[in-house]
Amino acid sequence: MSDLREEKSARMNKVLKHLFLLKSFIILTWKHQEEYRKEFFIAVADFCVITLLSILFWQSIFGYIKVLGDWKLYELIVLSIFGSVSWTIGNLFAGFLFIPLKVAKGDIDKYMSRPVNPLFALLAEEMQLDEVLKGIITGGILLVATLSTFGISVSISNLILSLGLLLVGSFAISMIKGVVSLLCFWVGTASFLNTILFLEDYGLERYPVDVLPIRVASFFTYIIPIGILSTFPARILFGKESNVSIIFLMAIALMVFWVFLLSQMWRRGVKRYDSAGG
Amino acid sequence: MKAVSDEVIQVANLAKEYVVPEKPPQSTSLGGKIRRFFDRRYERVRAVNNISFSVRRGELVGLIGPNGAGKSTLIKLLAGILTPTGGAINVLGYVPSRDRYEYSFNIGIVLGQKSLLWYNIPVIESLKVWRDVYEIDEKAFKDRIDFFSEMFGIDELFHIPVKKLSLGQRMRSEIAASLLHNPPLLFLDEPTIGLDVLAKSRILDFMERVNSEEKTTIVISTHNIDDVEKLCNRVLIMDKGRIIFDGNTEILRKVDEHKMIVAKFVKKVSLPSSLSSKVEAFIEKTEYSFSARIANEDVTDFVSAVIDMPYLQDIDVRSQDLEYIIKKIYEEGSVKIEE
Amino acid sequence: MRKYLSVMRIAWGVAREHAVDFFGRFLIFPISILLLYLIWNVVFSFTPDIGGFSMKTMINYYLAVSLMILSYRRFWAIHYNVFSDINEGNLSIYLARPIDYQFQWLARMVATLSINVLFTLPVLVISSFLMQLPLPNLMSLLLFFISIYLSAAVLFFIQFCIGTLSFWTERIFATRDLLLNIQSLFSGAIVPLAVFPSIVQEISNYLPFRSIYFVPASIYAGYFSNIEALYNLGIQVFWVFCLFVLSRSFFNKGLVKFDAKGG
Repeated sequence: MSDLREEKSARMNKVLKHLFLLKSFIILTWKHQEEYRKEFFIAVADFCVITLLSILFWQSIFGYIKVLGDWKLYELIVLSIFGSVSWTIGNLFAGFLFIPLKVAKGDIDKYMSRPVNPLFALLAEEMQLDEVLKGIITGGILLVATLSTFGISVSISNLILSLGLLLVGSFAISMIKGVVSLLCFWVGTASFLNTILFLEDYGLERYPVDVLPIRVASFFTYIIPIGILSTFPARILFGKESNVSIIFLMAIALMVFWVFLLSQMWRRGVKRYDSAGG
Repeated sequence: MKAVSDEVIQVANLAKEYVVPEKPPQSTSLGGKIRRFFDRRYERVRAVNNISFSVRRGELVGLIGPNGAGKSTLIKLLAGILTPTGGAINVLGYVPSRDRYEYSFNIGIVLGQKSLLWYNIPVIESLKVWRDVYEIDEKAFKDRIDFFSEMFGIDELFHIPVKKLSLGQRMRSEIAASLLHNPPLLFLDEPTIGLDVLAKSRILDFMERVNSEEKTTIVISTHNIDDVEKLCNRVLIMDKGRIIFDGNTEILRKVDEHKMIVAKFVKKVSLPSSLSSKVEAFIEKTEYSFSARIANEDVTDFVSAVIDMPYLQDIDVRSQDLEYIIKKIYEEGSVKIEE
Repeated sequence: MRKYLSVMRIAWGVAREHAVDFFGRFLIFPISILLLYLIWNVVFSFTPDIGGFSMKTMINYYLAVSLMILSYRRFWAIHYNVFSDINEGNLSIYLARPIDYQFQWLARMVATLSINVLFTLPVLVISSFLMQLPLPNLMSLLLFFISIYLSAAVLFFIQFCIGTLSFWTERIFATRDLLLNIQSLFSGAIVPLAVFPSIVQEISNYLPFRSIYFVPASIYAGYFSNIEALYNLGIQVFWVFCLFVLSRSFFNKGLVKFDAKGG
């Protein structure tokens, strides 16, 4: 028995190991999705059409108005692009969509008896990296195209800050989706979970939340934080935001809060799974 | 619990109770549904009810019982997937549910239909991911792959996507995957379901060799007694959460001194009286088939007589009938024989 | 005919079981409607008219669209149902029975839609009341309901066509996405087509997608006069017929190629 224990010191640190496993799962998901993957150009065309919808929307409206609050047309176009890109980044956590089904089928058992964090593995095996790449690349191109078409230049620091906020916002929304998906331990695979999990279908991210009444704007910034996906990154990019650090801190605090909630729900969910006999 | 040196599993007064929502009467009205949502009634189910046993290194243990006996629950408890509600488990010096992460490096587990391998990709790619999960270095991994190829001939399967494999091929790959890290202990829950006779025997041979070559302790749960008879030297019979028999497979065979003969015909037949007199009991009898219990000493004569009968389509000799054995055990009281 | 009615009855029973789930879907709906209402409020503070739509007309339009989107949810998976029936061999089961494959799916969808519409109705009324929106007159309402079934049929046949592509290739999803994205551009789901530049409107007149959201929602919102509504209903009927013929010819051609593998 003692020889088994000694091997423990030869083990990797848990956190390092999971980082290392990310690479293994990236290779896995890349190969696994080969069959259902669309050709890159079609995927790009996809993304363009979706974003074009929002752009066309604003363009049409601006045929009738000159400004929307303090927003000009090209700013709203960039806002739309940011919105689309943020949802594609969320595909890193596409695994949350499948968790209710996997829990119902008992698929978590195979990870529970192996030296890997089950939640990590369930997410890692469904990462849609090609979607993420498509979004980032195409979004980047559209962004550059928009800025040059309208002849606007932006500062590098604003660009980095705005993209950073977009990332944080994406992660925060993914964590919220995660918490909702983990409700499956209590309510099974009820289809109303899907309404929230497929939030991007509603297209809420193409509207600037800051033109709304203060309380509503706050709701869409802190409770259902779509504001952090597109509105505030766009504001930061065009230098319209004076409280950058505060926004960032709030966004990170939000993300931390949902991560914490997620881990708590996972722990309780597994306990419930256990007491229900799996 | 002190670990005795060559006991790998020690289970004492183990219990697993869980709460299941009571099946309410069917309600189609909306009001009924809302009421049901708020007023859930639960009942307690004892899936595992006060079990004690131990397993020594290198044993090949069969765990059998009817559906709902608690076999899967027991395996999951031993694997650390479920936490006991009572009693204690000690496996290889670990408490499975508590030391889950560390403990899992030392066990291999195959859970029936739940696959270890990813569907669309070649087997070897799945193995690579598990290699990383179990922190196996490159050299050890290569040696292991060679070992599997040499011993079990599954190298031809490595580059085939799992979805293109037959059930038997898939099962062999699953077991290989679960043994990748050379664990001293392997659990299998219903590994032979849905397999034809040939595939089944390949799997059982596979495990026998693993056990003899590497001294791997194997615990296999199944509802098919024939598997256990062929493979295991020790058998545990579970029923309603308890172990009602724990002993050598040989002894089990002696509990029932009969065999069951199942015969099918293409035309209506009637059994000549010389044969039907040998039958102790008919389990099932139709105009085209029968299942009969025959005493061991009469089997050879009976079978050769049936084979001589016209219009015979199929004949099968089954060594044990689980329900009969369990009934007998209950009649004779709990049988527990120490070896 | 009777067998399709019984298929519908079964689907009705299934849907009734899921009534509780369906209400859950309305969780996000009030939030998205609120957001739209407020945004358009701001937009209309800068101009009284957009493409012939006033504020109230616009919100009514979006109300109708949102509820249609919710009601048609099940329809978006039809191509996948056909895809898996073909690839996993279930199609063979249907072919061996004296029931038309396409019609039995259509029957199920009609049942599902009817239930969804039924549950949608009170939400429509309550929302209109809360936002102080004018309800359409009886005639418009009637035309609206007819229009919904026609647009659902258009959606169904498009989805069915996409699904039948599975007879020839397993990789239907790229085509699906491209088609559905083009569809979202021209269907009027994002914004009434009347708001778009005239080029876009011109193109949309030659495509069936207009019939899916724009026509019914415009009828409900009162953008169309009764005459215009009837005219557009006629266009819907035209597209239903065309797509029906198209989908059946795809299916029959594909059936010749079908080798019942899988399963």
